[in-house]
Amino acid sequence: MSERDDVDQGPGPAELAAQLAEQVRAIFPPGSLREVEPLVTLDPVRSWREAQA
Amino acid sequence: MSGLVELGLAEAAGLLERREASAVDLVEAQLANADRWEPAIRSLAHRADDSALAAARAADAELAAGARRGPLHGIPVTIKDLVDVAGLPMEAGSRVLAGNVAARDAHAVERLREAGAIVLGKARTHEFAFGGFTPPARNPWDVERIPGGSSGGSGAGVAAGIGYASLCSDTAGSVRSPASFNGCVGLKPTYGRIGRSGVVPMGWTADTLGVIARSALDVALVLDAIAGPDPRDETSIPTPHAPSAPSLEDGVAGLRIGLVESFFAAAQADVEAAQRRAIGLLADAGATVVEVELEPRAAIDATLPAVFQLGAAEAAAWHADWLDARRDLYGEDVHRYIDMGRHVSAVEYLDAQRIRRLVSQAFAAAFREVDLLVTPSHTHVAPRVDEQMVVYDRGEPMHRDPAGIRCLCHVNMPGLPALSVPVGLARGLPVGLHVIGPPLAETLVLRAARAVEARAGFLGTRPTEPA
Repeated sequence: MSERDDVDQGPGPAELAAQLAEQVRAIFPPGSLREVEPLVTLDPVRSWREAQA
Repeated sequence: MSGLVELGLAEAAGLLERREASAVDLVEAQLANADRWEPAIRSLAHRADDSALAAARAADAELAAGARRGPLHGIPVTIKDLVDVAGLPMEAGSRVLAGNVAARDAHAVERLREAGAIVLGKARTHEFAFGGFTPPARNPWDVERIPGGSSGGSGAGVAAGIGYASLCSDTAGSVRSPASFNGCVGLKPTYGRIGRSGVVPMGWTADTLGVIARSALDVALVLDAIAGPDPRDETSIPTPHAPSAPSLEDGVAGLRIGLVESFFAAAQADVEAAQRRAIGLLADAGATVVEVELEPRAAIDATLPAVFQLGAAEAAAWHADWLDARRDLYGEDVHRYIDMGRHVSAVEYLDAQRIRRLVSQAFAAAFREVDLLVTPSHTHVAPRVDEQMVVYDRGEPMHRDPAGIRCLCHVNMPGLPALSVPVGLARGLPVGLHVIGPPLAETLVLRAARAVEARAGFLGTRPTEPA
Protein backbone atom coordinates (compact mmCIF):
# COMPACT_ATOMS: atom_id res chain seq x y z
CA MET A 1 0.00 0.00 0.00
CA SER A 2 1.17 3.50 -0.70
CA GLU A 3 1.05 6.33 1.79
CA ARG A 4 0.95 4.02 4.78
CA ASP A 5 3.63 5.90 6.67
CA ASP A 6 0.88 7.57 8.69
CA VAL A 7 0.28 4.30 10.53
CA ASP A 8 1.56 4.27 14.09
CA GLN A 9 3.78 1.45 15.33
CA GLY A 10 1.61 0.23 18.17
CA PRO A 11 1.67 -3.00 20.16
CA GLY A 12 1.99 -6.32 18.38
CA PRO A 13 -0.92 -8.70 17.68
CA ALA A 14 -0.47 -10.86 20.77
CA GLU A 15 -0.27 -7.82 23.02
CA LEU A 16 -3.31 -6.28 21.35
CA ALA A 17 -5.31 -9.46 21.87
CA ALA A 18 -4.22 -9.58 25.52
CA GLN A 19 -5.30 -5.96 25.98
CA LEU A 20 -8.74 -6.72 24.56
CA ALA A 21 -9.14 -9.80 26.74
CA GLU A 22 -8.17 -7.76 29.79
CA GLN A 23 -10.68 -5.04 28.91
CA VAL A 24 -13.46 -7.63 28.72
CA ARG A 25 -12.33 -9.41 31.90
CA ALA A 26 -12.35 -6.09 33.76
CA ILE A 27 -16.07 -5.83 32.99
CA PHE A 28 -17.00 -9.52 33.00
CA PRO A 29 -14.68 -11.56 35.27
CA PRO A 30 -14.07 -15.18 34.17
CA GLY A 31 -17.18 -17.28 34.70
CA SER A 32 -19.55 -14.34 35.05
CA LEU A 33 -21.02 -14.98 31.59
CA ARG A 34 -21.53 -18.71 32.22
CA GLU A 35 -25.33 -18.52 32.20
CA VAL A 36 -25.55 -16.51 28.97
CA GLU A 37 -26.16 -18.47 25.77
CA PRO A 38 -23.70 -17.38 23.03
CA LEU A 39 -25.42 -15.72 20.08
CA VAL A 40 -23.33 -17.52 17.48
CA THR A 41 -25.55 -17.52 14.42
CA LEU A 42 -27.02 -14.11 13.86
CA ASP A 43 -30.60 -14.22 12.65
CA PRO A 44 -31.80 -10.78 13.72
CA VAL A 45 -35.47 -11.53 13.41
CA ARG A 46 -35.35 -14.83 15.29
CA SER A 47 -32.96 -13.65 17.99
CA TRP A 48 -35.09 -10.55 18.39
CA ARG A 49 -38.19 -12.59 19.06
CA GLU A 50 -36.26 -14.69 21.55
CA ALA A 51 -34.98 -11.58 23.30
CA GLN A 52 -38.49 -10.17 23.56
CA ALA A 53 -40.02 -13.41 24.85
CA MET B 1 -19.07 21.26 -9.57
CA SER B 2 -21.08 21.46 -12.71
CA GLY B 3 -24.82 21.63 -12.17
CA LEU B 4 -25.50 17.95 -12.78
CA VAL B 5 -23.16 16.71 -10.07
CA GLU B 6 -24.63 19.07 -7.49
CA LEU B 7 -27.95 17.23 -7.75
CA GLY B 8 -29.04 14.36 -5.60
CA LEU B 9 -29.88 10.98 -7.08
CA ALA B 10 -33.63 11.57 -7.08
CA GLU B 11 -33.25 14.94 -8.79
CA ALA B 12 -30.97 13.47 -11.45
CA ALA B 13 -33.48 10.66 -11.97
CA GLY B 14 -36.18 13.27 -12.52
CA LEU B 15 -34.10 14.94 -15.22
CA LEU B 16 -33.65 11.62 -16.97
CA GLU B 17 -37.31 10.75 -16.73
CA ARG B 18 -38.30 14.08 -18.25
CA ARG B 19 -35.56 13.69 -20.89
CA GLU B 20 -33.99 16.98 -19.78
CA ALA B 21 -30.62 15.23 -19.46
CA SER B 22 -29.26 11.94 -20.71
CA ALA B 23 -27.41 9.18 -18.92
CA VAL B 24 -24.37 10.09 -21.02
CA ASP B 25 -24.67 13.67 -19.73
CA LEU B 26 -24.66 12.41 -16.15
CA VAL B 27 -21.73 10.06 -16.61
CA GLU B 28 -19.67 12.65 -18.48
CA ALA B 29 -20.36 15.23 -15.77
CA GLN B 30 -19.40 12.78 -13.03
CA LEU B 31 -16.19 11.76 -14.80
CA ALA B 32 -15.21 15.40 -15.36
CA ASN B 33 -15.94 16.05 -11.70
CA ALA B 34 -13.76 13.09 -10.74
CA ASP B 35 -10.95 14.59 -12.85
CA ARG B 36 -11.15 17.74 -10.74
CA TRP B 37 -11.49 16.12 -7.31
CA GLU B 38 -9.50 12.91 -7.47
CA PRO B 39 -6.00 14.39 -7.27
CA ALA B 40 -7.02 15.80 -3.88
CA ILE B 41 -9.26 13.11 -2.39
CA ARG B 42 -8.30 9.87 -4.20
CA SER B 43 -11.66 8.28 -3.48
CA LEU B 44 -11.58 5.86 -6.41
CA ALA B 45 -9.50 2.70 -6.44
CA HIS B 46 -10.41 1.99 -10.07
CA ARG B 47 -12.20 4.07 -12.68
CA ALA B 48 -14.47 2.50 -15.29
CA ASP B 49 -14.83 5.40 -17.70
CA ASP B 50 -15.23 3.38 -20.89
CA SER B 51 -17.67 0.80 -19.59
CA ALA B 52 -19.65 3.51 -17.77
CA LEU B 53 -20.05 5.52 -20.97
CA ALA B 54 -21.03 2.39 -22.90
CA ALA B 55 -23.63 1.54 -20.25
CA ALA B 56 -24.90 5.12 -20.37
CA ARG B 57 -25.41 4.93 -24.12
CA ALA B 58 -27.33 1.68 -23.67
CA ALA B 59 -29.43 3.24 -20.90
CA ASP B 60 -30.26 6.19 -23.13
CA ALA B 61 -31.29 3.86 -25.94
CA GLU B 62 -33.71 2.10 -23.59
CA LEU B 63 -35.11 5.44 -22.42
CA ALA B 64 -35.58 6.53 -26.03
CA ALA B 65 -37.54 3.31 -26.60
CA GLY B 66 -39.75 4.10 -23.62
CA ALA B 67 -38.31 1.33 -21.45
CA ARG B 68 -37.40 3.11 -18.22
CA ARG B 69 -36.49 0.58 -15.54
CA GLY B 70 -37.09 2.86 -12.56
CA PRO B 71 -35.47 5.69 -10.63
CA LEU B 72 -31.96 4.23 -10.91
CA HIS B 73 -32.11 3.99 -14.71
CA GLY B 74 -29.04 5.80 -16.05
CA ILE B 75 -27.73 6.81 -12.60
CA PRO B 76 -23.95 6.54 -12.05
CA VAL B 77 -22.90 4.93 -8.77
CA THR B 78 -19.69 3.65 -7.23
CA ILE B 79 -19.05 0.25 -5.67
CA LYS B 80 -16.73 -0.30 -2.72
CA ASP B 81 -13.64 -2.21 -3.77
CA LEU B 82 -14.68 -5.11 -1.58
CA VAL B 83 -17.54 -6.05 -3.88
CA ASP B 84 -17.31 -7.95 -7.18
CA VAL B 85 -18.14 -6.09 -10.38
CA ALA B 86 -17.64 -8.33 -13.41
CA GLY B 87 -14.66 -7.28 -15.47
CA LEU B 88 -13.34 -4.74 -12.97
CA PRO B 89 -10.48 -5.15 -10.49
CA MET B 90 -11.48 -6.37 -7.01
CA GLU B 91 -8.40 -5.85 -4.89
CA ALA B 92 -9.98 -5.01 -1.50
CA GLY B 93 -7.49 -2.19 -1.19
CA SER B 94 -4.68 -4.70 -0.76
CA ARG B 95 -1.55 -5.78 -2.58
CA VAL B 96 -2.56 -9.30 -1.49
CA LEU B 97 -5.19 -9.25 -4.24
CA ALA B 98 -3.33 -7.06 -6.72
CA GLY B 99 -4.44 -7.84 -10.25
CA ASN B 100 -7.54 -9.77 -9.21
CA VAL B 101 -10.41 -9.14 -11.62
CA ALA B 102 -13.97 -10.18 -10.72
CA ALA B 103 -15.50 -12.81 -12.98
CA ARG B 104 -19.11 -12.04 -12.12
CA ASP B 105 -21.18 -9.42 -10.37
CA ALA B 106 -22.00 -9.62 -6.69
CA HIS B 107 -25.70 -10.14 -6.06
CA ALA B 108 -26.23 -6.51 -5.04
CA VAL B 109 -24.44 -5.29 -8.17
CA GLU B 110 -26.67 -7.53 -10.28
CA ARG B 111 -29.66 -5.89 -8.66
CA LEU B 112 -28.24 -2.42 -9.30
CA ARG B 113 -27.65 -3.19 -12.96
CA GLU B 114 -31.11 -4.70 -13.34
CA ALA B 115 -32.46 -1.41 -11.98
CA GLY B 116 -30.48 0.46 -14.64
CA ALA B 117 -27.68 1.90 -12.49
CA ILE B 118 -24.28 2.48 -14.08
CA VAL B 119 -21.01 1.52 -12.36
CA LEU B 120 -18.72 4.55 -12.48
CA GLY B 121 -15.84 2.88 -10.66
CA LYS B 122 -14.65 1.13 -7.51
CA ALA B 123 -14.56 3.23 -4.37
CA ARG B 124 -11.50 2.94 -2.18
CA THR B 125 -11.73 0.81 0.96
CA HIS B 126 -9.42 0.59 3.92
CA GLU B 127 -7.47 -2.58 3.23
CA PHE B 128 -9.82 -5.58 3.60
CA ALA B 129 -12.24 -3.19 5.34
CA PHE B 130 -10.13 -3.40 8.47
CA GLY B 131 -9.55 0.20 9.46
CA GLY B 132 -11.05 3.60 9.93
CA PHE B 133 -9.23 6.04 7.68
CA THR B 134 -8.89 4.53 4.17
CA PRO B 135 -5.52 5.80 2.99
CA PRO B 136 -4.76 7.49 0.66
CA ALA B 137 -8.33 8.84 0.40
CA ARG B 138 -8.95 12.23 1.98
CA ASN B 139 -11.96 14.13 3.24
CA PRO B 140 -13.32 16.64 0.67
CA TRP B 141 -14.35 19.04 3.46
CA ASP B 142 -10.69 19.34 4.46
CA VAL B 143 -8.16 17.28 2.54
CA GLU B 144 -5.83 17.26 5.54
CA ARG B 145 -8.40 15.11 7.34
CA ILE B 146 -9.41 11.47 7.06
CA PRO B 147 -12.65 10.45 5.32
CA GLY B 148 -13.30 7.70 7.87
CA GLY B 149 -13.57 4.06 6.99
CA SER B 150 -13.56 1.48 6.00
CA SER B 151 -15.83 2.84 3.22
CA GLY B 152 -13.86 6.09 3.13
CA GLY B 153 -13.75 6.24 -0.65
CA SER B 154 -17.51 5.85 -0.83
CA GLY B 155 -18.16 8.69 1.63
CA ALA B 156 -15.57 11.08 0.22
CA GLY B 157 -16.61 10.41 -3.36
CA VAL B 158 -20.35 10.82 -2.84
CA ALA B 159 -19.76 14.04 -0.87
CA ALA B 160 -17.63 15.38 -3.72
CA GLY B 161 -20.16 14.39 -6.38
CA ILE B 162 -18.45 11.25 -7.70
CA GLY B 163 -21.37 8.85 -7.99
CA TYR B 164 -24.87 9.70 -6.80
CA ALA B 165 -24.64 6.81 -4.35
CA SER B 166 -22.17 4.15 -3.31
CA LEU B 167 -22.68 0.50 -2.39
CA CYS B 168 -20.49 -0.29 0.59
CA SER B 169 -20.23 -2.49 3.69
CA ASP B 170 -20.47 -2.17 7.47
CA THR B 171 -19.20 -4.62 10.10
CA ALA B 172 -18.74 -2.23 13.01
CA GLY B 173 -19.59 1.18 11.55
CA SER B 174 -17.90 1.22 8.13
CA VAL B 175 -20.86 2.74 6.27
CA ARG B 176 -21.98 5.15 8.97
CA SER B 177 -18.58 6.47 10.03
CA PRO B 178 -17.57 7.82 6.60
CA ALA B 179 -21.13 9.02 6.02
CA SER B 180 -20.85 11.06 9.22
CA PHE B 181 -17.38 12.47 8.51
CA ASN B 182 -18.26 13.41 4.92
CA GLY B 183 -21.76 14.86 5.39
CA CYS B 184 -23.71 12.04 3.73
CA VAL B 185 -26.56 9.75 4.72
CA GLY B 186 -25.24 6.23 5.29
CA LEU B 187 -27.54 3.28 6.01
CA LYS B 188 -26.57 -0.10 7.40
CA PRO B 189 -29.75 -2.15 7.04
CA THR B 190 -30.71 -5.21 9.05
CA TYR B 191 -28.15 -8.02 8.85
CA GLY B 192 -29.16 -10.15 5.89
CA ARG B 193 -31.39 -7.54 4.26
CA ILE B 194 -29.01 -7.12 1.28
CA GLY B 195 -27.40 -10.25 -0.13
CA ARG B 196 -23.66 -10.53 0.41
CA SER B 197 -22.62 -13.05 -2.23
CA GLY B 198 -19.69 -11.66 -4.18
CA VAL B 199 -18.39 -9.61 -1.26
CA VAL B 200 -15.08 -10.23 0.55
CA PRO B 201 -15.97 -11.00 4.17
CA MET B 202 -14.45 -9.20 7.09
CA GLY B 203 -16.34 -10.44 10.17
CA TRP B 204 -19.06 -12.55 8.61
CA THR B 205 -21.30 -12.73 11.64
CA ALA B 206 -21.79 -8.96 11.37
CA ASP B 207 -20.94 -8.01 7.74
CA THR B 208 -23.77 -6.05 6.13
CA LEU B 209 -23.94 -4.24 2.81
CA GLY B 210 -25.21 -0.67 2.96
CA VAL B 211 -25.60 2.52 1.00
CA ILE B 212 -24.11 6.01 1.18
CA ALA B 213 -25.86 8.83 -0.69
CA ARG B 214 -26.63 12.50 -0.19
CA SER B 215 -30.15 12.26 1.20
CA ALA B 216 -32.47 9.82 2.92
CA LEU B 217 -34.56 9.57 -0.26
CA ASP B 218 -31.50 8.76 -2.37
CA VAL B 219 -30.50 6.01 0.06
CA ALA B 220 -34.06 4.63 0.07
CA LEU B 221 -34.18 4.45 -3.72
CA VAL B 222 -30.99 2.37 -3.81
CA LEU B 223 -32.07 0.19 -0.89
CA ASP B 224 -35.39 -0.54 -2.59
CA ALA B 225 -33.53 -1.73 -5.69
CA ILE B 226 -31.09 -4.09 -3.98
CA ALA B 227 -32.70 -5.38 -0.78
CA GLY B 228 -34.24 -8.83 -0.73
CA PRO B 229 -33.36 -12.50 -0.78
CA ASP B 230 -30.04 -13.63 -2.26
CA PRO B 231 -30.07 -17.30 -3.27
CA ARG B 232 -26.26 -17.43 -2.97
CA ASP B 233 -26.19 -16.07 0.60
CA GLU B 234 -27.51 -18.37 3.34
CA THR B 235 -27.71 -15.46 5.77
CA SER B 236 -29.94 -13.34 3.58
CA ILE B 237 -33.45 -12.73 4.90
CA PRO B 238 -35.88 -14.77 2.79
CA THR B 239 -38.79 -12.34 2.91
CA PRO B 240 -39.07 -9.57 0.29
CA HIS B 241 -38.24 -5.97 1.18
CA ALA B 242 -41.20 -3.60 1.33
CA PRO B 243 -40.10 -0.39 -0.46
CA SER B 244 -39.04 2.44 1.81
CA ALA B 245 -39.11 5.42 -0.56
CA PRO B 246 -42.93 5.78 -0.81
CA SER B 247 -43.22 6.28 2.98
CA LEU B 248 -40.35 8.67 3.51
CA GLU B 249 -42.49 11.76 4.06
CA ASP B 250 -44.63 10.06 6.71
CA GLY B 251 -42.64 11.86 9.40
CA VAL B 252 -42.11 11.06 13.05
CA ALA B 253 -45.20 12.58 14.65
CA GLY B 254 -46.45 10.30 17.40
CA LEU B 255 -43.26 8.23 17.57
CA ARG B 256 -41.33 7.73 20.81
CA ILE B 257 -37.63 8.24 20.27
CA GLY B 258 -35.11 7.24 22.92
CA LEU B 259 -31.94 9.28 23.39
CA VAL B 260 -29.10 7.14 24.74
CA GLU B 261 -27.55 9.86 26.87
CA SER B 262 -24.51 7.83 27.95
CA PHE B 263 -23.07 7.94 24.41
CA PHE B 264 -22.30 11.63 25.02
CA ALA B 265 -19.98 10.73 27.93
CA ALA B 266 -16.98 11.82 25.85
CA ALA B 267 -17.62 14.66 23.39
CA GLN B 268 -16.34 17.74 21.62
CA ALA B 269 -18.72 20.50 22.65
CA ASP B 270 -19.58 21.91 19.22
CA VAL B 271 -20.28 18.45 17.80
CA GLU B 272 -22.54 17.62 20.72
CA ALA B 273 -24.36 20.95 20.38
CA ALA B 274 -25.17 20.29 16.70
CA GLN B 275 -26.48 16.82 17.56
CA ARG B 276 -28.63 18.05 20.42
CA ARG B 277 -30.14 20.70 18.13
CA ALA B 278 -31.03 17.93 15.67
CA ILE B 279 -32.63 15.84 18.41
CA GLY B 280 -34.71 18.91 19.20
CA LEU B 281 -35.82 18.97 15.56
CA LEU B 282 -37.26 15.48 15.98
CA ALA B 283 -39.33 16.81 18.85
CA ASP B 284 -40.36 19.81 16.72
CA ALA B 285 -41.55 17.30 14.11
CA GLY B 286 -43.90 15.73 16.63
CA ALA B 287 -41.88 12.92 18.16
CA THR B 288 -41.66 12.40 21.89
CA VAL B 289 -37.99 12.24 22.84
CA VAL B 290 -37.19 10.45 26.08
CA GLU B 291 -33.92 9.48 27.73
CA VAL B 292 -33.21 5.75 27.78
CA GLU B 293 -30.32 3.61 28.88
CA LEU B 294 -29.24 0.33 27.38
CA GLU B 295 -29.03 -2.28 30.13
CA PRO B 296 -27.03 -4.10 31.28
CA ARG B 297 -24.60 -1.23 30.90
CA ALA B 298 -21.70 -3.65 31.37
CA ALA B 299 -22.54 -5.34 28.07
CA ILE B 300 -22.63 -1.99 26.29
CA ASP B 301 -19.27 -1.06 27.83
CA ALA B 302 -17.76 -4.41 26.78
CA THR B 303 -19.02 -4.17 23.20
CA LEU B 304 -16.06 -2.29 21.76
CA PRO B 305 -13.39 -4.84 22.76
CA ALA B 306 -15.79 -7.71 21.99
CA VAL B 307 -16.41 -6.37 18.47
CA PHE B 308 -12.65 -6.27 17.86
CA GLN B 309 -12.30 -9.84 19.17
CA LEU B 310 -15.09 -11.15 16.93
CA GLY B 311 -14.00 -9.25 13.84
CA ALA B 312 -10.33 -10.12 14.21
CA ALA B 313 -10.94 -13.81 14.92
CA GLU B 314 -13.30 -14.19 11.96
CA ALA B 315 -10.99 -12.24 9.67
CA ALA B 316 -8.01 -14.30 10.78
CA ALA B 317 -9.90 -17.48 9.91
CA TRP B 318 -10.69 -16.15 6.44
CA HIS B 319 -7.15 -14.87 5.84
CA ALA B 320 -5.53 -17.97 7.38
CA ASP B 321 -3.48 -19.08 4.40
CA TRP B 322 -2.27 -15.59 3.54
CA LEU B 323 -1.26 -14.11 6.89
CA ASP B 324 2.16 -15.76 6.81
CA ALA B 325 2.60 -16.58 3.13
CA ARG B 326 1.76 -13.07 2.00
CA ARG B 327 2.86 -11.27 5.13
CA ASP B 328 4.76 -8.53 3.32
CA LEU B 329 1.83 -7.65 1.07
CA TYR B 330 -0.43 -6.47 3.90
CA GLY B 331 -0.29 -2.99 5.34
CA GLU B 332 1.34 -3.06 8.75
CA ASP B 333 -1.76 -1.89 10.61
CA VAL B 334 -4.11 -4.31 8.88
CA HIS B 335 -1.85 -7.33 9.31
CA ARG B 336 -1.48 -6.49 12.99
CA TYR B 337 -5.25 -6.29 13.51
CA ILE B 338 -6.05 -9.47 11.56
CA ASP B 339 -3.12 -11.40 13.04
CA MET B 340 -4.47 -10.39 16.44
CA GLY B 341 -7.39 -12.70 15.68
CA ARG B 342 -5.05 -15.69 15.91
CA HIS B 343 -4.39 -14.71 19.52
CA VAL B 344 -8.07 -14.54 20.52
CA SER B 345 -8.84 -17.80 22.33
CA ALA B 346 -11.94 -19.86 21.62
CA VAL B 347 -13.13 -19.05 25.13
CA GLU B 348 -12.71 -15.32 24.51
CA TYR B 349 -14.50 -15.61 21.18
CA LEU B 350 -17.44 -17.41 22.79
CA ASP B 351 -17.58 -14.91 25.63
CA ALA B 352 -17.79 -12.16 23.01
CA GLN B 353 -20.76 -14.02 21.53
CA ARG B 354 -22.32 -14.12 25.01
CA ILE B 355 -21.85 -10.36 25.19
CA ARG B 356 -23.57 -10.16 21.80
CA ARG B 357 -26.56 -11.96 23.36
CA LEU B 358 -26.69 -9.43 26.20
CA VAL B 359 -26.44 -6.49 23.78
CA SER B 360 -29.28 -7.92 21.71
CA GLN B 361 -31.40 -8.21 24.86
CA ALA B 362 -30.50 -4.65 25.86
CA PHE B 363 -31.77 -3.26 22.57
CA ALA B 364 -34.87 -5.46 22.70
CA ALA B 365 -35.71 -4.08 26.12
CA ALA B 366 -35.25 -0.49 24.94
CA PHE B 367 -37.48 -1.06 21.93
CA ARG B 368 -40.30 -2.17 24.21
CA GLU B 369 -40.38 1.46 25.37
CA VAL B 370 -39.55 3.42 22.20
CA ASP B 371 -39.87 3.16 18.41
CA LEU B 372 -36.37 4.41 17.57
CA LEU B 373 -33.12 5.22 19.34
CA VAL B 374 -30.75 8.11 18.64
CA THR B 375 -27.11 8.53 19.60
CA PRO B 376 -24.30 10.63 18.17
CA SER B 377 -22.59 9.07 15.15
CA HIS B 378 -19.30 10.43 16.42
CA THR B 379 -18.70 12.89 19.20
CA HIS B 380 -15.70 14.36 17.35
CA VAL B 381 -15.03 15.81 13.91
CA ALA B 382 -12.95 13.93 11.35
CA PRO B 383 -9.37 13.75 12.67
CA ARG B 384 -6.41 15.14 10.77
CA VAL B 385 -4.43 12.51 8.89
CA ASP B 386 -1.53 12.85 11.35
CA GLU B 387 -3.79 12.82 14.42
CA GLN B 388 -3.68 9.37 16.06
CA MET B 389 -5.57 10.35 19.20
CA VAL B 390 -8.97 12.02 19.43
CA VAL B 391 -9.15 14.66 22.14
CA TYR B 392 -12.54 15.52 23.60
CA ASP B 393 -13.67 18.56 25.56
CA ARG B 394 -15.17 16.08 28.04
CA GLY B 395 -13.84 12.56 28.54
CA GLU B 396 -10.53 10.74 28.09
CA PRO B 397 -8.62 10.84 24.77
CA MET B 398 -9.06 7.77 22.59
CA HIS B 399 -7.19 6.32 19.60
CA ARG B 400 -8.98 7.30 16.40
CA ASP B 401 -9.76 3.69 15.37
CA PRO B 402 -11.96 2.80 18.37
CA ALA B 403 -13.17 6.42 18.57
CA GLY B 404 -14.45 6.11 15.01
CA ILE B 405 -16.81 3.26 15.90
CA ARG B 406 -17.37 3.88 19.62
CA CYS B 407 -20.98 4.99 19.10
CA LEU B 408 -21.70 2.83 16.04
CA CYS B 409 -20.54 -0.73 16.71
CA HIS B 410 -23.21 -1.85 19.18
CA VAL B 411 -25.93 -2.25 16.55
CA ASN B 412 -23.79 -4.69 14.57
CA MET B 413 -23.95 -7.16 17.46
CA PRO B 414 -27.71 -7.82 17.06
CA GLY B 415 -27.69 -6.79 13.37
CA LEU B 416 -30.04 -3.83 13.70
CA PRO B 417 -30.71 -1.24 10.98
CA ALA B 418 -29.09 2.14 11.64
CA LEU B 419 -27.99 5.20 9.75
CA SER B 420 -26.05 8.41 10.09
CA VAL B 421 -27.71 11.60 8.85
CA PRO B 422 -25.84 14.92 8.59
CA VAL B 423 -27.19 17.62 10.89
CA GLY B 424 -24.78 20.53 10.40
CA LEU B 425 -21.17 21.62 10.62
CA ALA B 426 -18.71 22.07 13.47
CA ARG B 427 -15.55 23.99 12.62
CA GLY B 428 -16.58 23.62 8.96
CA LEU B 429 -16.75 19.81 9.19
CA PRO B 430 -19.87 17.62 8.98
CA VAL B 431 -21.61 16.23 12.06
CA GLY B 432 -23.86 13.17 11.97
CA LEU B 433 -26.73 11.87 14.08
CA HIS B 434 -27.15 8.11 14.50
CA VAL B 435 -30.67 6.67 14.24
CA ILE B 436 -31.29 3.02 15.21
CA GLY B 437 -34.37 0.85 14.66
CA PRO B 438 -35.53 -2.68 15.48
CA PRO B 439 -35.00 -5.45 12.89
CA LEU B 440 -36.41 -4.67 9.42
CA ALA B 441 -37.33 -1.09 10.40
CA GLU B 442 -35.29 0.47 7.59
CA THR B 443 -38.23 2.61 6.53
CA LEU B 444 -38.70 3.99 10.02
CA VAL B 445 -35.05 5.03 10.43
CA LEU B 446 -35.12 6.60 6.97
CA ARG B 447 -38.31 8.52 7.88
CA ALA B 448 -36.57 9.92 10.93
CA ALA B 449 -33.55 10.87 8.84
CA ARG B 450 -35.83 12.60 6.35
CA ALA B 451 -37.55 14.50 9.17
CA VAL B 452 -34.17 15.72 10.45
CA GLU B 453 -32.73 16.67 7.07
CA ALA B 454 -35.91 18.54 6.12
CA ARG B 455 -35.40 20.80 9.15
CA ALA B 456 -31.64 20.89 9.76
CA GLY B 457 -30.78 23.09 6.78
CA PHE B 458 -27.77 20.97 5.76
CA LEU B 459 -29.27 19.25 2.70
CA GLY B 460 -27.57 20.60 -0.42
CA THR B 461 -24.50 21.84 1.48
CA ARG B 462 -21.41 20.77 -0.42
CA PRO B 463 -17.66 20.84 0.17
CA THR B 464 -15.71 23.46 -1.78
CA GLU B 465 -13.97 22.15 -4.86
CA PRO B 466 -10.17 22.29 -4.59
CA ALA B 467 -8.49 25.19 -6.43
